[in-house]
Amino acid sequence: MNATALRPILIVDDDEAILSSMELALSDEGYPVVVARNGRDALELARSASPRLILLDMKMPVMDGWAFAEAYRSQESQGGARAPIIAMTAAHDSERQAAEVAVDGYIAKPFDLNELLDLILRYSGN
Amino acid sequence: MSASDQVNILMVDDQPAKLLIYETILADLDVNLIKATSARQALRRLLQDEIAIVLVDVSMPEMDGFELAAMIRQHPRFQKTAIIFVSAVHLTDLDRLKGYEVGAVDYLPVPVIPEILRAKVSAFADLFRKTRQLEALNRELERRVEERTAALEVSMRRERDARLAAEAAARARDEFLSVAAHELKTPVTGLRATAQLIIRRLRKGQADGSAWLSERLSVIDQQSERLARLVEQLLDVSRLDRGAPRTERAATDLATLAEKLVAASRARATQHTFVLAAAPGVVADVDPIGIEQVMSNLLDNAIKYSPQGGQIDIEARLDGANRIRLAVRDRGIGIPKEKRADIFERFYRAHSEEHRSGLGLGLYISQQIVESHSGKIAVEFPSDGGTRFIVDLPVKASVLAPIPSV
Repeated sequence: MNATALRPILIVDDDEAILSSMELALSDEGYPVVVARNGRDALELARSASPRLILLDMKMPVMDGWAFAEAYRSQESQGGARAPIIAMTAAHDSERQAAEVAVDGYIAKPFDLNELLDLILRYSGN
Repeated sequence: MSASDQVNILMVDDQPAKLLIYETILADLDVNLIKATSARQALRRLLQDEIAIVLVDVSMPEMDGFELAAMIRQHPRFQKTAIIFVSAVHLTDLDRLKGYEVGAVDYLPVPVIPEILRAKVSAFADLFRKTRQLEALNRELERRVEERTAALEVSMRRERDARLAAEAAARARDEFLSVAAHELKTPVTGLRATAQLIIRRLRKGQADGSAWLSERLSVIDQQSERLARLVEQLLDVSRLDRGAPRTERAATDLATLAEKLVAASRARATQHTFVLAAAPGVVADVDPIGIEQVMSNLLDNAIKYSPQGGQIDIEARLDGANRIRLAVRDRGIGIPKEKRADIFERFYRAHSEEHRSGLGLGLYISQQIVESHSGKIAVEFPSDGGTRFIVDLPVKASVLAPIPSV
């Protein structure tokens, strides 16, 4: 097993039902998982756990997904590996476009778990 | 002939006989003749009446015709009054010049030829009439222009107001659709992810033990309930758009109602402490479904806006003879001062920047229900933090005697 495989997937969502089910589903697939409920906690985790992929809800209290993506990128530009971010939003057109600009991948809520797992495989492969 | 159409001719001569001659010559003209035998008298008449033409003898004792003309011209009202000089003295170029210098309009030598006098007076009278008509037309035109301008301004203002209102409504609708989409899709996402997780585990034969399954099913249960509440709110607001809420009143035990809601909140929000102060046996004539909705909305808000947990106080009691008071107080994040005025507005979300969930309908619907009971809903911000909502309902209420324990 290489180092990338051991690095966890960071899930950021303020909704407990979504967060817990995703955590279980990803763990079932053998992924190590860390979770955060807002952008600020996620920034800290991104620093300490250096995830290989970030699944990011956009609308969250304290610090939202856009603010997180911006802060995470500026942090990465100062050196260090940068994990791809997949935005998960329940928004429609204009906000979806804004999310696509801010991140690397996008999946609309409500998503199909199988599609999400495929996407994760694509982004966290190698 | 009306007074405004009348043309006044002032004839000034120190010899009454001459005035009589002029009067005879001008008698068949459609004008009003006024006689003055001195410059002084002439000035008095000028100030009294509107004079179109002054027919003045140049040589008069005390003040001659030229001096009178000069005085007339000094007055702003008579700048344009026509003056016809009648001169018995030598008709020299010098005399004529002197006459025009003071702004005279014409000159008539003596002996006066009746046809010439009549022709000159008639021409000036016509000019005066036409000028007066033109002035009247001009005034009317100006009035109309002003009227039309004012009307145009009013309609432009109306149009702009209507456009701004339409734009604001469109923005509010877009904002609401965006919020509603997010609010509805979030529980659906939780439901779908949870259901698919269960399916995957069952297919893989991972279903060892039932603890996790029962936990996941309760997630589904909670999310379905959340979704049902949102749908209910949307239906409520669409009903309210068509009129006041329908209420069906029934004798309702407040303490029982409050206890039921508090029990449901306790199960849902484990970080909070719920303290219920409800007098037992208070039975009020209210719409039980409506009042349950109001209290449930207030409790939801109290939980949602005190994310760190803390105590939530619920009050349900008789307040005087025919009034009941319900109150819910949290110790949460409160409401910023500048947003407090709008919290009962439809679709208003005081904490929208922080992406806290909600459609912006709870307080709006609650207020409508409270008002359908002729009651009032108010909010207080205690100095030690949080928010307190108070509902006062002027309804028939009574306290039942407690059932004696056996």
